[in-house]
Amino acid sequence: MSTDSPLTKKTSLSSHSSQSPSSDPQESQTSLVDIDYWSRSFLALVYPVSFTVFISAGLSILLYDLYTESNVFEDAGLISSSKGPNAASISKITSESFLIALIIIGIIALATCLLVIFVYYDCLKCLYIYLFFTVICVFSLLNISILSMIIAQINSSIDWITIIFYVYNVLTIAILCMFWLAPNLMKQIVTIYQCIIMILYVLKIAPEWIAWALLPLLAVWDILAVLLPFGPLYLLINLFQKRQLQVPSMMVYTTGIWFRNQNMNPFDDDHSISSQNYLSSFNLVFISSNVLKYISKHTSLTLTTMNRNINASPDQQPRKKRRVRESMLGLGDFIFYSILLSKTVFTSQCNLFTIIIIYLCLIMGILLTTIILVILHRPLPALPISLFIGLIVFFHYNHIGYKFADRLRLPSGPIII
Amino acid sequence: MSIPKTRWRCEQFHQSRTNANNGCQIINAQIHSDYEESTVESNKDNMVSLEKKSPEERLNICRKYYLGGFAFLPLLWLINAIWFYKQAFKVEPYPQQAQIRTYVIRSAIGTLAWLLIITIWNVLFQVFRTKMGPAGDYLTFVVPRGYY
Repeated sequence: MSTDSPLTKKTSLSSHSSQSPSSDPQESQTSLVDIDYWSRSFLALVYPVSFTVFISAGLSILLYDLYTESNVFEDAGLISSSKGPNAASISKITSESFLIALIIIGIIALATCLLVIFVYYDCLKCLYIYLFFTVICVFSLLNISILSMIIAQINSSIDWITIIFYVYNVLTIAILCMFWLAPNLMKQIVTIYQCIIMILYVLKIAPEWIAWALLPLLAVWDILAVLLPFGPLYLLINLFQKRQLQVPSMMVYTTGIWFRNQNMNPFDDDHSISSQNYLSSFNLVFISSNVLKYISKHTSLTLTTMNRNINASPDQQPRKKRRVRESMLGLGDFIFYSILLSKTVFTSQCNLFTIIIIYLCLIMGILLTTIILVILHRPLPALPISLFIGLIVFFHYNHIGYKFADRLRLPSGPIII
Repeated sequence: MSIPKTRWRCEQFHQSRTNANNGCQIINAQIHSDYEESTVESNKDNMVSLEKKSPEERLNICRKYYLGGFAFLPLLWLINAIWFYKQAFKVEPYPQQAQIRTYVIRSAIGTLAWLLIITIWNVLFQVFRTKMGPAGDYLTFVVPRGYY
């Protein structure tokens, strides 16, 4: 895609709209601009989500033997088992797993409130220390635990020296990416790597029933935290909006990473502020608190203001080329979309149709959220629509729908349609 | 809380010409200043681009990555070599470019040397693991399942 033509078209459209006296062409002009802009930003959201989701689904298919044959992925005795001599009833198991999922979400909520308090009282040092600690733990301890699973599955005999060397290197790169300068590609790779570590770790500690109970509760928590006026995420977002100064630097250090979509780099030249930025999640030490997921709309505003500034002061030329496209998606969203897909891999016994259908449901959820975002213009939770659609479709397809699909694809009798 | 709302809803001012010029200018100034400051901040932190930095800063970054690689960190050398390759060889010369060029070349050589060391060690370990006695078992990360 060319970088200049849509931009010049957009600026000409916007300048047209600012000059025409009547309001109706302005409305249609802005809506034209909006649709082009929003479809592009939707695609920019879809690419990294798809990438992460495919990698995690691939790793889940790789680890599927470990899931069925060994006890790595058991529920650690937290809930009553559904098999064996002391098998509990399904309702008892689901209630227990929902309780445990509630406890996990309580911890996430606590971490979010803690972070809101940090941001509110301008306690930058606490945030830096917290984030530093989290990054070190994730990239060393959880990394080793993930590596042990993968190496056990591929059955190779790698020695401790190589592992420690590798973990040491990756940890140094992660710290450099987050707290100092590193190439943008490395930042994206480190972000995806962190996501994968989190995903596999959450799958390890919450494998069977607990993960399924966690997902709808997380969707509900997301709705409550972002849409209610006293929700911690809403407060966090407003704090970041108000103290506009702090947003970029703090986002790098507190949430860790601005995820920059690789496909957006050809669009934006070097003056672009934040082409596609994704707030990463605030990482609780052992449980990823997905906390900040919001898709907000910043940029039609900044586009129009930029055009006014261009008309006003011609020396702002270098900033004219900036395509500010701030549609942000929190890292926790990546993690929980991928957990949904990995759980479908495990529970549906690597049924490829189920995986594809759930992936399409996720994309549809992102699309619907983007559409609602265009209408509403406020921070929205990105999880609930995708998760609800995905969960309903999965449970329907896994128990009922697959019979229909199998009947369609298996050879039938003498009746040929 | 009102400030974010007006920032988001500024487009509605465009509908009437009178309001657009009066209302949005004030907000424009504020947003512009905020935007400017935020761009300054974010240029520093978010979009790392080597072209925007002064040559001294580039040399500084290159040197830091080069020196850091000596602490058993070949990944830093790899990143240094790839990131500054364009700066060292493909850009018009500037006074620090010669030094960056030496750093890049040495980083590349260091990466290859470490790659060799790691490969040789791994091959040796995989071949001699069972013949090393108890040390082989202690060094193994995950003892593989046997099939025989």
